Amino acid sequence: MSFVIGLDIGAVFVKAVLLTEDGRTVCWREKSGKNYGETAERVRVRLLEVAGESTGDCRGVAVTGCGAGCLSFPGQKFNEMVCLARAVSETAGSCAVLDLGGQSCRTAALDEKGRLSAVAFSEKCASGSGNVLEKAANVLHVPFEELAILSEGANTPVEFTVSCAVFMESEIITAIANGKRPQDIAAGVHMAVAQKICAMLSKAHQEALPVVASGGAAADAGVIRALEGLLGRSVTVMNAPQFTIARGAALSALDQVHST
Amino acid sequence: MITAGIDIGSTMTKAVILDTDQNAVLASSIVETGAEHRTLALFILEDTAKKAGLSCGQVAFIVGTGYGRLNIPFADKQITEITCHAKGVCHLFPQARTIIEVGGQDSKAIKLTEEGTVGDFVMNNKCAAGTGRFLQCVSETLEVSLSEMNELALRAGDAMPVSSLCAIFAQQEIISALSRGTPVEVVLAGMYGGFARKILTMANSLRIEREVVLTGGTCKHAALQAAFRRELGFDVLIPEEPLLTGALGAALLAGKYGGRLSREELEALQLRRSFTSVEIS
Repeated sequence: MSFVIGLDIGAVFVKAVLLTEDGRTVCWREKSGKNYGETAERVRVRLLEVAGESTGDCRGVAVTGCGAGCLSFPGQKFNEMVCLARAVSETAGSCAVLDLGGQSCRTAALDEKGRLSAVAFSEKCASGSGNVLEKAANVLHVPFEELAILSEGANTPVEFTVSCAVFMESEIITAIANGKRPQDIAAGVHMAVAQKICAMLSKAHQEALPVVASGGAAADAGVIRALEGLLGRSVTVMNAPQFTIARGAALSALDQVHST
Repeated sequence: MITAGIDIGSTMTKAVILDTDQNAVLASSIVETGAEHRTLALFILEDTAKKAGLSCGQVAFIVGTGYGRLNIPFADKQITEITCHAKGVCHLFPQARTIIEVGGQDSKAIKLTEEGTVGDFVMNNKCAAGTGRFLQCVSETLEVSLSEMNELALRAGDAMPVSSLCAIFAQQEIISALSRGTPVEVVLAGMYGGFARKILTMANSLRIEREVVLTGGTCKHAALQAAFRRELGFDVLIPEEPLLTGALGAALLAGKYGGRLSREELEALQLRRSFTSVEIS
């Protein structure tokens, strides 16, 4: 069956989404590693295996992300924010989009026609990103997926004085050495990351819009919970949020197929 | 008078024992800072005294400095590392007007007056960019040791512009560049350049004046020294041991403060000072 592929080559993971003609969605992701091109090729091959499809039926490949230039097979490049808007507008109306990546955080306003405005990037500092969460999970010896469960059991969240992702790791180690409870540390980390994200959101003047979150870090319910507390309203998380941009890329590839 | 300066930094602990009458450094030591500052402070003092052929009891006045200076229970005085670095650098280079200090987890720029005192200073300890931790992150990403990184960068004929300031983002930028086939030397040369620029941006808020002296463990990287020279457009001065200026300054200041005391007062200080009562908390 004919299909299209969307690839999001990020700093931490290479994400791929395959969309078939009859509306089936197949996802696959792997750690980006040190050679983005090689990882992307491996992910493409694996995705086809999982989907049970063959290269000959591929109608188009769309690629996005920081490693988009490293693709070793043909693919059309798309802007990440365009892909994000394409995927989010499929399910949400006018909203504030919050993409919480492995290293960066992006915010934008999306109107009911799927058009973007007030785009902001955390290009200078990784403190409001999944990187901090990943480091915290590592140091606390829990899988990333369990960080949210851990922070649910917090009594008094630890207050962290630095926000730098690198120094935060040392602060977490110090907190453990000082006998702080892992639950309180996890909750403190969630709060610190949420505060950074909140500051970005408010910069983009998106207070009035409903908030939709995507990206790998949005899969951490602890951050979303802390964010909801700070914002005073609910945050909707996309389905399989880590694949949102890759899905947007696949949808963009599909649009191209339909328009020709 | 025999004095000692102990500088407990975030990464390294340094000690200098000085004979103020001869104006001579008798011995110095550099060890890694562990989690237990108090035992380490005593250890390094004993070790340095032994190298000088002395016992701890023969040291008349001790000044503690660095971020761990409050954890030196036997120190007679604590002085900030800014003051100590200024003192140490001016002793070695009286013509110095600006100090750029790059430590393991912070970086500072100190403006000196003509009298060799601190005019003004700026400091970054909130962000890993521009500190030794940045280079450590790069070293981990590349799986190349710090000394090898230095050598590779020095060998590069060309430098790739590295725009990321954040240590995390720079790691990503470096991996992207390597994925595109940029040689590792070229990437590293660019990385040292960006690193020096980040610190100079901070230092420039004080208006950098010649002569500029580089201190701190991270400034031992010849590739970083070269990057500073390139970015500044003129030569810089580097102490024989860039790690020791803080401890040297502390020992010199110990001479100043100890010299104000009478023999009886110094003896009383020594009696009160107990080297055995160090408790491990």
